[in-house]
Amino acid sequence: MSILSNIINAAKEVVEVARTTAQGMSVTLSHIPQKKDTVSYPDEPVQIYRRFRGEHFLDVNEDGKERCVSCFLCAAACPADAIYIEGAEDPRPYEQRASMDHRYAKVYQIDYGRCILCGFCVDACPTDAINHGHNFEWAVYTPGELVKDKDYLLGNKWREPDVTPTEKQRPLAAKQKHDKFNITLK
Amino acid sequence: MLSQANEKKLDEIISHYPVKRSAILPALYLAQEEHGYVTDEDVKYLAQRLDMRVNEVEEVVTFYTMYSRKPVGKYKLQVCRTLSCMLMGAEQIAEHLEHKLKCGMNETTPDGKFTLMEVECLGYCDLAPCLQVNFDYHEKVTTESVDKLIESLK
Amino acid sequence: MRSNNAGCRFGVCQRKTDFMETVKLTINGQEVTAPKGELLIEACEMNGVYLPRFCHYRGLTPQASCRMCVVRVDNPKIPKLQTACTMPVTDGMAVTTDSQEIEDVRAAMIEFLLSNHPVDCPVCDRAGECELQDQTYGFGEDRTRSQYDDKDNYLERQISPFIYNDPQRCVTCKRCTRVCEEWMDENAITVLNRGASTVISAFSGWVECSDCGNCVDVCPTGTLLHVPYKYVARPWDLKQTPTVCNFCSDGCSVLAGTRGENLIRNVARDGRGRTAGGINHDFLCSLGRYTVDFVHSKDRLDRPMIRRGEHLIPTTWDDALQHVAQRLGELKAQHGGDSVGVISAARLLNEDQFTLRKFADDVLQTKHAEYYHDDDEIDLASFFRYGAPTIATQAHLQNADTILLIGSDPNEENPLTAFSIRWAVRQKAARLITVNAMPSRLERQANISLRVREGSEGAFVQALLDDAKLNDAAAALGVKAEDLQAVRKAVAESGRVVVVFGDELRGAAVEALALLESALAAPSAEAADAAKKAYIDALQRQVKSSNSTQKPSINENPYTYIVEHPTLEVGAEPVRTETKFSFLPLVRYSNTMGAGLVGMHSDDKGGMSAHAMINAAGGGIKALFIAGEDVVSKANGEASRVSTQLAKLDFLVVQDMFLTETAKLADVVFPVTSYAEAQGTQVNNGMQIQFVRRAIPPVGQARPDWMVVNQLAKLMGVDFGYQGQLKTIFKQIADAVPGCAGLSHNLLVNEGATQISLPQPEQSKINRADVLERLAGQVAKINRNVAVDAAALTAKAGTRLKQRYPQITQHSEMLTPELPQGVEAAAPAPLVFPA
Repeated sequence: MSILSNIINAAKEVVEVARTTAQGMSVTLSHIPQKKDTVSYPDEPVQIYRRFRGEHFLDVNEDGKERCVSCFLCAAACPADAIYIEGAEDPRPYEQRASMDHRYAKVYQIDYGRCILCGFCVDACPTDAINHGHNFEWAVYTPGELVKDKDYLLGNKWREPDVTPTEKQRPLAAKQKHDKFNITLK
Repeated sequence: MLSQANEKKLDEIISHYPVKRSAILPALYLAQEEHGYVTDEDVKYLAQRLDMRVNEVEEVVTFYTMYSRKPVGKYKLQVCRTLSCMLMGAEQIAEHLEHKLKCGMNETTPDGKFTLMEVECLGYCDLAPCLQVNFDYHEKVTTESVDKLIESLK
Repeated sequence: MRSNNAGCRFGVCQRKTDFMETVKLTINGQEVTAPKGELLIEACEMNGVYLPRFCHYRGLTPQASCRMCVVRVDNPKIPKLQTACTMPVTDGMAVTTDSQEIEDVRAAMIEFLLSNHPVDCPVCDRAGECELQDQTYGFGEDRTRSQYDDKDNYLERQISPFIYNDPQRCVTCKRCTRVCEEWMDENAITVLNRGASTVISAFSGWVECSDCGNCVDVCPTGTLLHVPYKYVARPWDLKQTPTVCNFCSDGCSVLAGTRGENLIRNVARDGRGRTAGGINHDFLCSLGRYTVDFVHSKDRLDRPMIRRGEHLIPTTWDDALQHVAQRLGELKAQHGGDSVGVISAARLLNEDQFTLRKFADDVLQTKHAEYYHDDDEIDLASFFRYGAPTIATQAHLQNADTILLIGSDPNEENPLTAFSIRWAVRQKAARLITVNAMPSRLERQANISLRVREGSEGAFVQALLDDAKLNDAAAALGVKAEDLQAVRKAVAESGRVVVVFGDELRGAAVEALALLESALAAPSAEAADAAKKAYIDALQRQVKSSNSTQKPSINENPYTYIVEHPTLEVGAEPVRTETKFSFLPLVRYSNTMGAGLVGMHSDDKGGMSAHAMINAAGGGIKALFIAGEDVVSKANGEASRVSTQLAKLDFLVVQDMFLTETAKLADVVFPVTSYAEAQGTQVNNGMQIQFVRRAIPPVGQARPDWMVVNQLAKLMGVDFGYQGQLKTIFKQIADAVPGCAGLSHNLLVNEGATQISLPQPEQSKINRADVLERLAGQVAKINRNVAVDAAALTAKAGTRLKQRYPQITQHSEMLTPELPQGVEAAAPAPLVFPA
């Protein structure tokens, strides 16, 4: 009696396992022909939403002049105290100087070891000089390398995807040494 | 800095007042009469004569539009631009004068005859708009009367 | 901001009122009290109601041009809104400061002011401490009805080495011009033009003045800006540390603005109305304000240096200290303690001086320890010989009936004293009498000014003391006897007299000052009041009827402004002295008084003076320990002699901020802190002890002076028991110095400037005959054939203060300011508004 029931039970189990396996495999198999959600980063570019808050870039106006007037409002708004600025004066006329105003940032640093990417600085900026880009690649060997300087942040604009420089901005874009970011925008 | 005759007049003017500095307005007229406008040297000299500081003299000269700190034409045309005159068409008069004399505000015509200015209230609100030519008032001016006036001055 | 119970928003209304007559008034239905004669705007602020204002400024004459402080006066009923800044409070007055009507007026005023204001806050240095910004947020609307593009009427420009001017930001409050005229008596910056084209400028376009920068500090907007501070930092980034300036002996409080480890600027008051809360109201001079760059000079010593043959080479602290301890120990053992001398700079703080004194007494066991002072400095030993005559503070000076200025030129040497004198003359109708060989700008304010023969000032004291010798004194001074008689009468009938004296009084003349109290007894209170009233009446008559050929002896007519203001002082300080005469000795250095007080002088121990020590170098003195003084540069014309003397020493230790001429001769040089990095106490010329806070960490490896000496002492086997704490040093000072009993750092931090009271001279102990005889002898020596020659002396004036701190002033670029290259003097502004 007991032997027979044991055999029956074993057979039921086999059937059950086969059924659930088939069920599970059917989901797996049904996904095989479908489009993949994962990206084989870093071999392929990553797709990122446009409103993603990544590494900042410092903007220039249509004449290629730095928008930043070193008003320190971003540094004041920063909850993580990640921004350091030193202002200076450039008394030359508009055509000759690199910035929009007499007042410009001699030093502009963002410490990505501190930055929490909250975007308050972007909100605070009265001249739209600082913006969030889409880069997120910060892997470095020492914390000091996370402090990005002004030239790097200015260059970031030209490394962004979908940026077309105006006639006057073109020399600036051409000067950019680094490659474009490995990003596509959704 | 002043001629001898004017120097004498200045002494006389100063003697009219209990405090020397009170003589600043007539003294400035004297200097302006002599040089056509109040020169830098006049300001310094009068400051020294009246025991004032150059900045105090400069304040007075620039406050009153009757004094000039730059060379001006033979006729100084001053259009009142304060409320009553403006409402009564001072702006049109000023514009008309600019066209007619072909010179902008605070400028002198090339022939050195006219200097055009806009000034604060001349105190002729009841007879607005008012135009001051040197020290004469011309009240209730219109574009036509201004034309006539300019012709007569030419 | 609009709350009535918010308390004083700007924290400046701590003035004590209980010694004044008060009136009762009602503000917004609440009954409050205020000092009699106080302006309504101040009375409101004292009682916690802040009224917005641009033109009103405490300590300046009323202007009433901004119309922001308007209030409704209900009793007595006045039909129109009134400006609170021009209305004195009266008993039973009832005012409303907060109603819809008033709010509307304020909003309209703000809108009007902003109609021609470029809202360029991001690039304006004033943003963050801008009164226009604050009040727009507090009282303005969020939109404007006047949008037009031609706001740019005048271009920005630099108008002096230190002032940057952006005319379009101006709200024409005229604070700057009033400060220049009333505080500094310079009239260097002024208002040109009229109406909408009004502009702040000057005659030639350049503002030529003493560069005090007060006009910039009081500016409520970004119209006037400090050039050295331009675009450098933001006020919210700066940590503001109230500390004390160390340039002259007045001891002004400054707010040191620091960013990270850098000292950025010194101000008396930041734009948010925060003051340093010191004795100086909101006043600072050029040196105190701008000469901060020496702190971060690239020439600062950052490591100890030790001599190896010809060269001084950097070393470690341990090595340097060990070397000094060993060498001083050897010399002491070989030649005895008295072979070592200690010289300190009079600018060092009390704690440093005290430690040096202890070092000399307990470690070196030498009697030669003195702060460096020249022979032509004020003779404090003579002054304090019979006890301490009453010392006047700035508050006393500002409330004096008569001010006697003997010698010195406070404009150059003690700018705060000059400010207080001018303030007393203008606001309180004090009578100023100057007795001076050198011409001084203060003579413009003087009621009687005596231009005397150089070096004859002692004769003036004789004339005051002894009526019989008046004619002789007049001959010695080179002035008319009637004038001296007039001065004597004025001094005799005055209630409170402050004698401000400089280096020119010497020896017996300084001693004789203690006799004034008994020689010219104080009149009764009624008589003094009557004399004061008669004086004011006479002045007003004189102004009304003065003959045009005669130059008025006073600055035209400042007496139209006499207001029954309470004292300018912040803090609870009595404004009246017990005695009729009080004295303000204009000593040279920031802590000359303190150095003497804590015993850093050789007199009582029979030691040598600093000069004698240098002269005895190589003879009785084998080693010198010089703290913070550049004795070579200070020795006018004798630099090479002093250098040779110092070279004769077996061992020379110098501790200083820079590698000075003296330090170059040293065997070991220790780098020490500047005043911005040091902490401790100092005593000003009014005997007020003040707490100096550390604003920034020490530059490089610099250490405070006391710490270096303390470490040396430890290495030489003596423990001063400081336990590494500054407070402990001060506790020892408080125990050791009679006037300081009961004081502590905690107390000084809270109380601000505290006057040290010392026992009065005992008149009975003074040998009057002896003092008078010596004074007569001094007067007899004056060469009466020398003409009174002001022109020759004029050349000497104006540079004295800067010569006193060679090691600081040589390393500051602010003292030789340069105007921007290639910029022409800004032409006077156009006459009328450009179309």
